[in-house]
Formats: sequence, C-alpha cells, structure tokens
Amino acid sequence: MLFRTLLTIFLVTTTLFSKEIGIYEQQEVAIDLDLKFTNEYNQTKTLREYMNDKPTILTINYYNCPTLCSPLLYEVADVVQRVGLEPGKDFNVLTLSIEKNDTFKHAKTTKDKIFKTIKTPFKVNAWNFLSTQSQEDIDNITDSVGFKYERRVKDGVVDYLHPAAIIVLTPTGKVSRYLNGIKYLPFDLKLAILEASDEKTRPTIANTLLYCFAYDAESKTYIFKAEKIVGGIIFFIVLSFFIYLIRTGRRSDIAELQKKKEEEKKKNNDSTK
Amino acid sequence: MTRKTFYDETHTVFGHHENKLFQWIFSIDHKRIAFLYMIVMFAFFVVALGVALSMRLELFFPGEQLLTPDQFNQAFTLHGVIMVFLFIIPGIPAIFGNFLLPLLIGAKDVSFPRLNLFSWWLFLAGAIIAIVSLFVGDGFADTGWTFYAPYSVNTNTNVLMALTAAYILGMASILTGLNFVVTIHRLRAPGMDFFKMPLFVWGLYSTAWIQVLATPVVGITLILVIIEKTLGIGIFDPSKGGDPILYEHLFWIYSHPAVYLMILPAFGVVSEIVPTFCRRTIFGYRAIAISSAMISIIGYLVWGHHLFSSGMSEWAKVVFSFLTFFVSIPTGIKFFDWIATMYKGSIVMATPMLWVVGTIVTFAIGGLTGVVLATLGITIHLHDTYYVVAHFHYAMLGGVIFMMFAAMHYWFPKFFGKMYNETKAKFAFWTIFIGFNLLWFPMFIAGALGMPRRYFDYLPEFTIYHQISGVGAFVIIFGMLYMGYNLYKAISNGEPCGRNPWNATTLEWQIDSPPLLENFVNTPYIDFEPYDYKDGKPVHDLYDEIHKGR
Repeated sequence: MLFRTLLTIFLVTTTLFSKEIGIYEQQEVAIDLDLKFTNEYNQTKTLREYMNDKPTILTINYYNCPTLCSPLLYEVADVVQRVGLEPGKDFNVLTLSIEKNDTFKHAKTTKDKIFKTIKTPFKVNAWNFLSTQSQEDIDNITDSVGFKYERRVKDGVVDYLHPAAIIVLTPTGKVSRYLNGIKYLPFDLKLAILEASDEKTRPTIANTLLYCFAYDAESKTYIFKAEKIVGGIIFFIVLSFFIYLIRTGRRSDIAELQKKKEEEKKKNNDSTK
Repeated sequence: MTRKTFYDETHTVFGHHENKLFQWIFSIDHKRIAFLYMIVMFAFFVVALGVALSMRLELFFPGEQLLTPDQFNQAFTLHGVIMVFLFIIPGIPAIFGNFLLPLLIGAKDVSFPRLNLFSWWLFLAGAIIAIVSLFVGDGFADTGWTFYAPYSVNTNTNVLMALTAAYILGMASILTGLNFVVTIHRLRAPGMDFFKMPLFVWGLYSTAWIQVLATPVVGITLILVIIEKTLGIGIFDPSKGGDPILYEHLFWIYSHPAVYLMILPAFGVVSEIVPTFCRRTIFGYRAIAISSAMISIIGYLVWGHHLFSSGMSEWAKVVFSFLTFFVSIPTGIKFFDWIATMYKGSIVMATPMLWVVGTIVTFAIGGLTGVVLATLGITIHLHDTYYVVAHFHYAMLGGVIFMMFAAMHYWFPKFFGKMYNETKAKFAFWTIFIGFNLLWFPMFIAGALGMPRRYFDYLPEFTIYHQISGVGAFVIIFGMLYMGYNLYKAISNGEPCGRNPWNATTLEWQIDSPPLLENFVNTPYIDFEPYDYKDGKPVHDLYDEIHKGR
C-alpha cells in the first residue's frame, strides 16, 4: 500500500514537473495570422489585420490576473513611450487573453486602466486587447510561441501560472525576439523592433526567471550563509599564519648574519667613540 | 673569464638535465620561472587581442557581419577569461614579481622554489583546460568572465571546463601569494626592515595577501556552481530554491579585491621608476608603503558596489558607496606622492618614464570615472553600459597593462643585459597611447547615451562611436606589435648596456645583468633607505661587497 502511494506521488510529481511552465524559445516559427480574435470594441478581425504589416509586440495575459499581468502591462505602456518610435506607424502592440471566458468588456476595462497611464500621443488602435471563446485558437498561438502556462481552479477562482515575457513578432508573424521579465529597457525593445522589421530572429541572452505564482513563495526560502562559514575559517587560518610569520621572523642563517652585522656595527661605533 | 649567468646554468627539480627544454620547464630558478610565465601569458595575450579585434570588427557596422550573436557571447567571455584570469591577475607578480622579488630584497631565490615551479605547472594546466574547452562540445562558455548564475547553471556551453580552469588558475595564484608572503618575511637581506624595502616589494606584499585571502572564496564559489550544474542542487538557481544574489556576493568578494591585486603591483612599478628617472628619493615613502596595505584592506570591503542594481538594502548600498569613495584616498595619496617626487626634479624622459607619465593620465581617468560609478544615483543610469567598459579598460589596460609595458622597458636591460632602440620604443608608446584613447574614450560618451555592454548589435545612432573605437583598435594593436618587435630585436641585436644603465639605486641594479644563477655571491647588509640619491647619483654601491671572493 505504502509502495503504491509513493509510486502515485512520484508519478504525479513527475508529470507535473514535465509540464513545467515557462517560455520555451522558438526560432523561425510563425503564428497563424488568419486566426480571428475579438478586440475591446467588439470587432472581430484576423491577426493579419491587427498587425497591419508592422512589427508587433505581443503580450499574453488574462484580464482578471491578480498579480503579474498588471505590472507587465504598465511596464509595456511605459516603455513604448520611451522607445523613440511611433506606435501605430513603426509598430503595433497586441495583448491576448488566455482565458476563454474573457470578453471584449473585460478587455475594454483593462485597456482603459492601462491607457490612463499613457501621457504621450498614442493611436488607440495601435494597441488592441484581444479575446476569443475558442480554446483551440488560444493554444495555437501559445504553442507556436512556446508560452507554457497552467490553469488552476482554487475555491472557484480561476487562476493561471504563467511566465512573464513579451514577444516581438515580425510583420509576417515570425517570432523575432523574447524579452523576459517585467522590466524592459527601451534600448532592448527598440533594437528588437528594428530587427523584427528586418525579419531577423535572435535568441535571448538574459533570461530572468519570473513566474506568476499564486502561492506563498516565502516557505521556499533557502538560506545558506556560505560567506560567513567560508570567510570565518579562512580568516582564522590566515590570522594564525600571519602571527606565525611575525613570531618566527627571518630564516635562521639570515638571522645569524643580521646578528653578526649588527654586532660589527656596534663595535665600529664603539671604536669611533 | 666569461661570466656564467642564469641562462647558462640552472637547478632543476630532478637534478641535472641534458635537454635544454627540460632545463627550462623543470627549472626551479625564480628567474627562469618568470620567463616561463612570460611566454605562456603573452601567447594568451595575443589570442585575447585577436578575439577583441574580432568583436570590434563585428561592431564596426550595425547588424551582423563577422560573428553570430552566440559567437559574440563566447568571444567576450573568452576575451574576459583570458585577460583577467590568464594575463592581468598573474601578470606583474608572476613575471616581474618572480624575477625581481628575490633580487630586490637580496635573496638567492624565493622561499619555496619547487612550489614556485608547481604554481607554473598549475597555471599551464588551467590554461590548457581553458583552451580545450574551446574545441569540445558546444564551445567556450558564453556567460561572460563573471559566470553569473543562474545563466551559468543553465547554459549548455562548456561552463564546467571554464570553471575548472579558473579554479586551477586560482590555486596557482594562492600558491604564488603564499610563496611571496613567506619570502618577504623570511628572506629579506639582513638589516632590511619593512620600511627599507623597495616599494615594488610593498606592492607585491599587499598583493600576495589578497591572493592568499580572497582567492579561496572564489574557488569555493566556482565549486558550488559545479556542484549545482552536475548534481542539480539548488544553490544559486532560483527555480531550484537557490539565490542568484548570493552568487554575485561570493563572486565579487574575491573579484573586487582581485582588481586591487592587479593594480597594486602596477603601483609598485611606478614607485620604482619615478625616483630612478627623477634622480631623487621618493616623496612620502612611508605613505606610499602604508597606502598599499590600506588599499588591500579597504579593497575587501567594497565588493557590494557591483550589486547596486541587482537588489540590496538601501543601507548596504550607502555603506558600500562610501567605502568605495574611501578606497580612492590611498590611491590619491600615491598619485600626489609621485607628482611631488617629479615636482622640480630634473626628469629623464626615457621610455619607462614616458610610460609612467602616460599611465598617470590614463589611470587617473579610469580611477575618477570609478568614483562616478560608485555614486548611487548615477550608477543606476550607467550600470551595464559602455561607460563601465571604458572605465575598467582605462583602469586595467591603461593602468595595469601599461605599467607592465613600463616594467618591460625598465627591467629589459636587467633581463637580457642589452638595450632596446629608444626612438622606436617611444614611437611605439605614442602609437599605443593615441590608439588607446581613440579606442576607449568614445565609449564613455556612447555609454552615457545608453549603449549597453555585451551587445553584438546596436542602434544606428551609435555607429560613429563604434567606428572611432574600431579605428583606435587597429592603431593600438599595431603599436603593440611594433613594441613587441622592437623588444624582440633587442634581445639579439641590442647594445650591451652594463649593469646599471638607468643609474637606479635598488639592489637588482647592483649586480650583473643578466644576473647569476643565485643572484648574490655574498648577501648584502642593507641599513639604508632604498632610493638614496646625491647629486643625481646613487649614494650606495654594493657591487664590490656583493661580488667579493667570486
């Protein structure tokens, strides 16, 4: 019985482990631009129409997200103003919901919240907030870009574990670059957009690990005061070594020579007196 | 009677060898070991220069030309690892320290000659492992020379081999440091107390303590990364419950003192050259000596300034910022003492002195921009930009390596008993100096405007800075090759120059050039200050006393 339980636990954990959430970077893959999504004004268009033959920043979120999505979207709103390019002319932004129960109303609320923070001129249609009722279409997009997430229902509340990253797409829908985390340098983003407009694809260098965890991360704290232990031992050894050196002084033959010379010097001094 | 120098006879670890090569690679003579280091290190220096040039070429135009992004990551890692671990850190102590330390303190060799040879073999082993990792598996590590976790834990490139190499090189460094500390304590000539030692010895002494104290920390850190990579134990990787900031702390606890480990012997070289070419005793001998020790102590307490933007409490930031400002005080003391020595002196502008004056300019820029970076508000803007790259190249190349070049020109007559062509050497200096400033100065501006470091590509508005740098890179490399050629020619064709061509006062100039196998026939008695001049001539000449009864 015990063996069986252990085996079940083992199997369950390994299955969970194998479905690890995160960004699995894909190179040279394109998303299907003919998929249709509804925007925040309840218009349904294809992705091709939304992207309008421009490099596009894609963010994947859901509109009731309690933690990671808002800071991510606010950061995108901030960085696109500082990137030195014109939204709607040089690039577009698309936000896609992974929750199929999200509607255009949820999208509109989120958009209004985010757009309140934008201070520079910004074409309304340069950033659309999309949703769809088709789980298949959502999966199609997230699989193509390697965005692995997990749906959890706890006390009747739907919640997602998902990575934080934005994806820059070329005008033909190829993944050009991933920017990980929830902080993006304008320089990085500008370079990514310029590369995307040249249809170039590149792997990411920095890969900050950041996940939307709904549970308390404190319990996982791991403290190892290596520096204190190592530092203490080394300091003690070196201190004793130093004291030893000071106490023993010169090598015996040189010390003898020193003694002899000093005596000679003393004698000379005495004789000159 | 022809004099037998250390080139003609040697002690080896296995007794006598007929084979000339074995007489070198198994020699326990500190002077030969210095040459062994020199050969390996300069071979690697040339490789790292080539890699650096390939990066500059890649960056000459925006977009991808010569290197792919992945190759570029490997290139800057290779450049950093070679330059830091194989060239600058061992640099002056391993070549000039090994050759000169016993000569400067009147000893026949270092305390542990066999250990000294063992250190070189370890150094060679580390170097070979680093080279092998280039050609197996996914190629050289692409982490940058700092091996920051968690990326170093997750990448598939040969990080394990690079870490092992760095670890072995660290061991070589510890053993050399230990050897020097013991040598300075135990083998000083009779009468020479600590404040009668030449200042280069003070520099080596402070350096040796850093090697002994700090290197074990990085050794253990590298082992922790190896454990994490091979056994999957979460030490630094947050997805396994580890702490990446811990890695940064452990790494910089060594690697910041390592910066002083590089520069202190270089300061020692300046303190030797300045009095010689000003023909007067150095101003503030004790202040310079003690400031070396102060730098090595305070240098331990500033590592946190590498983590200003990686997450640290505000209080810790303020403390580290102020400690970093403090470390510039002993450095400033040295600079003012050198300038005070030169003030109203009749300076002989021979090549070594020219290098020193040039370095005072470049290192001052490197040092002062370091103070800018230690300022909390500004560093957030400049962190990880070309400003930092320019800063540390002004300090490392424009400080340490330039002083190594100065030392090469200053002690060249002692090494070979011959003199190089002075005009050509000065021409090489000016080429390198101009090329250096062309190469690095534009990066301060590009960095302040937001050009990030370690990028293989850039926005079109930065093109001009990269192109000026690219031209500078060619100029400086031409200068270095020309300098190397001039010195190499002088080994065979140089004019014989006698034992003391510079009218210097310290002990190494009171014996023949090149030195005898065991340096001193009779151990001298030293009861005077190291830099005594009267009417532009050295006061003490111990040549006859040292060579009596030969």
